[in-house]
Amino acid sequence: MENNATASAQPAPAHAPPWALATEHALGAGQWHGAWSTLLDAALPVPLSVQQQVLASLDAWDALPAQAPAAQRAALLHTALAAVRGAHHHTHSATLTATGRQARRVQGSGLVKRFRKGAFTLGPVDVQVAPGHILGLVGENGNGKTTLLRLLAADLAPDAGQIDWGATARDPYALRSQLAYIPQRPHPWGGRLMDHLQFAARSHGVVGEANRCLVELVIARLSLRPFRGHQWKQLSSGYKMRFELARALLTQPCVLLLDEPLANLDINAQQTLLSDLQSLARSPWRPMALVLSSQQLYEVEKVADAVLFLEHGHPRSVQERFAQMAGCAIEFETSWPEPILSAWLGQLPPHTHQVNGHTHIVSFQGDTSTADFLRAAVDAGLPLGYLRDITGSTRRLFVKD
Amino acid sequence: MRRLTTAWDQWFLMHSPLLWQLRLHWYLPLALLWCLLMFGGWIGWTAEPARWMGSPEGIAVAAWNRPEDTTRQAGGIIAWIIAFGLALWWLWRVRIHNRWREIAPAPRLGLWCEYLWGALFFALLLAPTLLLDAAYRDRIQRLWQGQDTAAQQQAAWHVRRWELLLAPDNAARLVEWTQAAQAMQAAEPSTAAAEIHDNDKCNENQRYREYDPGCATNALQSLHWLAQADTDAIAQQLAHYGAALGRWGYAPVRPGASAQDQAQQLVSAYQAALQSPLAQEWRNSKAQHARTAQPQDRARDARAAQSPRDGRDCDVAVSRDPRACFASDLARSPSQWRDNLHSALQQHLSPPPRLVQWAHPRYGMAQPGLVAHHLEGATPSQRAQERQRSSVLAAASGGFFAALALIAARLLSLRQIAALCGALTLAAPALTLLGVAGLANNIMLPLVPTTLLALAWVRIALLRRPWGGSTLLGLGLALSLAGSASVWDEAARALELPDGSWPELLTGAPAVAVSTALLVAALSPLWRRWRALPER
Repeated sequence: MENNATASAQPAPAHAPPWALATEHALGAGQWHGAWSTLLDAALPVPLSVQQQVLASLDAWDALPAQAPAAQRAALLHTALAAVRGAHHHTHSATLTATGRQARRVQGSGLVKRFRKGAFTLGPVDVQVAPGHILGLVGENGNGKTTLLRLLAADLAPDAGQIDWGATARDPYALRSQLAYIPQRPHPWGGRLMDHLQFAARSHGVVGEANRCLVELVIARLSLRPFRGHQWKQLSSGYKMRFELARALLTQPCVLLLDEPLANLDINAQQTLLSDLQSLARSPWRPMALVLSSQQLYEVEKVADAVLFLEHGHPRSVQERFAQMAGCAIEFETSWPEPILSAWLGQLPPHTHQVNGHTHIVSFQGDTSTADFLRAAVDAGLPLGYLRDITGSTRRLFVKD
Repeated sequence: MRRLTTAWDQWFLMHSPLLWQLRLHWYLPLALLWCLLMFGGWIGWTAEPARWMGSPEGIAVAAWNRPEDTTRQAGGIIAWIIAFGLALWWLWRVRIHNRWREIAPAPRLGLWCEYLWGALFFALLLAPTLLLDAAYRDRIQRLWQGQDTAAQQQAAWHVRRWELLLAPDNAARLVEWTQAAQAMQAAEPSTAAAEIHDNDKCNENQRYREYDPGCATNALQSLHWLAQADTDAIAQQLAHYGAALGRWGYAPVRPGASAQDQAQQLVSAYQAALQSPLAQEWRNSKAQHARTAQPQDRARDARAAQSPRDGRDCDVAVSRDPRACFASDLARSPSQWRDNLHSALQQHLSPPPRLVQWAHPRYGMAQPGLVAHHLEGATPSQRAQERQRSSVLAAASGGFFAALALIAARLLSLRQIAALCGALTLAAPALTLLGVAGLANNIMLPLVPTTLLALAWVRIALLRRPWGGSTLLGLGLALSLAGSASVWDEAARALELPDGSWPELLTGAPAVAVSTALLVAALSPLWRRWRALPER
């Protein structure tokens, strides 16, 4: 961490809004990315002149040499922060939230979709996502995650059940223009990336300088500024997903649906994207109902408010299943050979033991805790390469009995 | 420059996202530039009369390979290639920028607006291809405005004939041609003239006949004037010829020679040809042949005279020595000499002028054949005006039909386009079968597209099922177009509109184009709804 930044950070007033406090905190800790992210989120609903000031600060930031002192960076951030805070202070919060389309609760009840080919049937499934909430869809491949997302995106018609998007479905075209669905493999973008983003914003009523500023702020928010001049084919999978996300955000959707957004992303990119998704969904000015599917169980569990586990097209109630699983569950990897490990596990309280490749999962039936297991392992000298408490994780649902 | 193009792009994006997403803010100016290049640049370059009336000295000009025609044909081919290329380029770009997957907000008649803009684009793209010929003629006619082009064209034909008749190699035949012409004129002037010039160039020219019904006599007249040494009449024709050439920078090769002098020179050349050693030699041969010919020779000559190849087995141009043709020429009967005169005047290759020489500093010696041909295009006529009107209407309507490609490109995937093409291909034999079954009448035929469109409406609006929706809509639209064309055709026939009149022309392609536009407007909301259907 940069000490200079800590020194130059000005203490936030006690009545400062949470976003400003978060920015100040990140600034004080020298977490530039975090500070900018919060600040840019707050800059999206403010008047154009303030957005232009923020963009000017961003341009100045980009022009700084790599060895620029932290105080200089902090000063730039403070300038932008002051401008945005001033705008928020002078503008009524209702005005700020009214700048975009109002987010709505998305609710699907008794959804069923049958495919004749492959004889797969999804549902019946009940789904409910409120603005500011994230629903994670988990399940093995071919269990209906994408089908459910496409139903919610009005890309598939349910064979039974109802979906309420909170918007009138009388004009299906207008409805679809309010839903943002990002498939796992998005279609390539021809031409310039900025053109696509500006067109998306323009189609949804943002014109003139406001259009340029909004697009610049959104791509800055998603750390895409260095890639403005790139071609689609020059982007990695992660940045393609981020550009898709930027375009979706510019259309101010009622609901944002993402199919496997973490696929093909490295661990750092996954963390950044998830953190961005979380803050975007929970934005105090424009909260959004967000549904994402993923195989990355632990990552989804970190950000999702609720997780829907699909098995053979049917939802499995995580709570009910966990209630049946009384004891704790531990996932670990060790170099001990199977006979020795089995002998050692035989000395432990009653449990079930599953092996998935090199990974072992032990589910205790009694009151045994993770600490008890760990203690026994240390006593026995068990060489542990990896250990995770999955007692409260949907990972347990993937374990085949 | 880049800043300018970016500003232009941004301005259109903000003011008309519809045009922007169709990339028409680039392609419409390109199409306009294309029109400007063709109608301004190309027509400006080609419509220069002096260019087409001359050729380098010593080069014979063939009737089937006139530079003016060749250039116009080349211009037409280039126009088609470029228009087709531009259309494909645009289709490729618009498919790349195809935004329909995003379901960007669009009004109910948005598709119709796209269609109308597309129609404008295609009309501009097609205009040079469909109107190039009409524009060229119009330009030429304007350039020649105030000139008696019909008389000048007639004069040019006379000059061409004099040059052909007085070619040194024709001196021997000139004797016989003069006799044949005089004999015909004496026997039955009107029949002879009509017969000899049945295929004459001036007779082929409908406009020319309208202008001068007696043009059939002109070819014979050329020879008569020479034979009668009518220098006044010849001078008058030469004055017309000179006026046409002098207007565009041509000047007589022998400066200071008046039309009267040139006429005198032509008559002298004619008389000199009749008295030339070759003509004398021919007369001697003929006299000798008359004396020595046996009855069996005469019978052979008579048979040869009836042979269709008569007179064509000896070509002076091929043999180079006219004496080599004496043997076959001696076998000709008077009627065959008349035919021979006919074919001589009709020959397609025009040798460089020898007696009436006008030259241009840049374009060389004036060729009477080329001058006559060029003046033919410069002479206004009812038929040309009808053709011109028809071209303008075709260009205006062409865009409406071609813009249907825009709908296909905007809405359908390649698989759907293939399905639509397949369905259209199958529709043709299906309609034929209806005809065979006696169901292709005015009541049953419109039922087919109406049923298809009704089915599309039921599937899309009521059942909300997209499968087949695009194909049904496309097929219904295509068959409706065929139906509307048939209805308009019948209406025009029923009204008995005069050929080539505005109402008659308007009930053709323009009426069908307007029907298309109305149909697209009516189907636009349904198509928009189809775009939003799930599982499309």
